[in-house]
Order: sequence, then structure tokens, then C-alpha cells
Amino acid sequence: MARRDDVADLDEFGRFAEPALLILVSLADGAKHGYAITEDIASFAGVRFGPGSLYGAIARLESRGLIEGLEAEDRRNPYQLTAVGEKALRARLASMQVVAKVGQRRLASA
Amino acid sequence: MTWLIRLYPPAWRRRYGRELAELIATQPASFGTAIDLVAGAVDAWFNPQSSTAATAADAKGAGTMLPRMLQLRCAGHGPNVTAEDTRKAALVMLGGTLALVLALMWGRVRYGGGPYFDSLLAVSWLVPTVLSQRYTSLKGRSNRVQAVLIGGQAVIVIAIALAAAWFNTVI
Repeated sequence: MARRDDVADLDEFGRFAEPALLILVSLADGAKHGYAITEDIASFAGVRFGPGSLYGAIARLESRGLIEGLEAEDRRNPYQLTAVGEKALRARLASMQVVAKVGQRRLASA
Repeated sequence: MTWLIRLYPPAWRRRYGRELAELIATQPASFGTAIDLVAGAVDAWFNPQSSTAATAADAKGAGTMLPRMLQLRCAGHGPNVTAEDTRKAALVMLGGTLALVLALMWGRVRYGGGPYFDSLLAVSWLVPTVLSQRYTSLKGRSNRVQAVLIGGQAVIVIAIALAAAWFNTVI
């Protein structure tokens, strides 16, 4: 039940749901600033979000406490996952894994 | 292209403006980036985020996590729209559309119609929808902000409709 709540948390992001999820994944291995997040997402997902979409998602994630800004370094503000963000990301990935397994199983038996 | 950051709300610019400018500077200027920034600015005005709220960095332990999540969920949910607000918004949308359609139909009969009446009829549902934002996405905003945003959108919708009608008459 708790997992459903976490998943719904990202669903509320509307058109920012996909960038929000990819930002969380990008931050899963450590803090990054906006440019590094953009490059990282482009490298593992093949998607390059515009600056407006990226910061729209970052603002939502930060306001919901899923990520937090760190002290600026070299005029750039890195962001890192919070405990809540990590929990939400784990829940979302687990949910996606279930859907992927079901899909693959059905395709295999089709 | 960093001048487009001026379209964002002041509080948003104070929080993210410098970072956004840095990111824009790393990308080649393009029409797509401009559209993305304008869309982001519109979103920032209509869906203000409470990014200045306390983050979950101090949420250590399961005992504090759930209350923190619930608190943040409410804080980030935008205006507190009640069922009554939803009813009011629906009433404005339906009643406004009906009133506008009737008024424009009367105008067509009275003045013989034409492309301008037809064009306004086509957007007669859109203007009340814009007005209904007073009870939904713009709830809690000051009267001045509501007037500027709702009035601005309504003027743009009507201007586009009239421009389309004019274009139709000259081609």
C-alpha cells in the first residue's frame, strides 16, 4: 500500500513525470548539478531534456522533498537524493520491474 | 536566450534562475529550447512549487518519514482546491459557454453573422474555461495576479480567434 502512495507521488508530476524519474535515477549514484544531470540522462536514456523541462521537474522534486540542493560549488548547485526520494525511486523501479516482467512473460507465451 | 528567464516568476528566478542561465549557456540556442523555456515559465506561474519548504534531509528514520511525505505531498500540491471550488469552476465553464454561445447566436441573427462571429463561436468554450481558473489553478493568488493571468489569456484567445477570422477574409 505504501508503495502505491510513493508511485502516485511521481504520477502527480504530469508531463514532468518522465524527467522526474530520470533525474532520480541520475542522482541515484551521487549528487549532480543541472548540466551533469542532463548529460547523464542523455547517456543512459538517450533523452536530452530542455532546460525548462529539467528545472520544472527539479522544482517539483525539491518541493516534495525527493531531492535537495547542496552548497554551490563553482557557481553550480548540485542536487542529491533524499531518503524520501530514494524510497520513492525504489518503489517506482519495483513497480516498473513487475510491469516489465508481466509484459515479457505474455510476449513469450503469445 | 537567457532573457527568457525573465518570464519566470520572481521567486522561481531567485531560486533557480542562475542555475538555469548556466545550463542554457551550455546549449546551442534553438527554437525548441525557446519553446521549452516559455512552457516552463507558464508552468512555473500556474504551478508554483514550494521549493523553499524544508527538505527531507532531516527525515531520518521511518517514524518521521510518513508524516514528512504527507506534509510535502500537501505542500507541493498547489492550490487547495475543494469540491465546492470544482463545482464553481464547472458552473463557470458550462454557464459561461452557454451564455456566450447564446449571445453570439443572437448576434449572428441580429447582425447577419460572418467569419468573426463563427470564429468567436469556435472559442466560446475556451474563454469560460480560462475564467474558471480563478477557482482551480489560480486559487489563492492575489486579485491582481488573477486579473492579469486570466485577462491576458482571454485577450490572447479572442485575439487569435479574430485574427484567424480576418485571415480567412483576406485569402
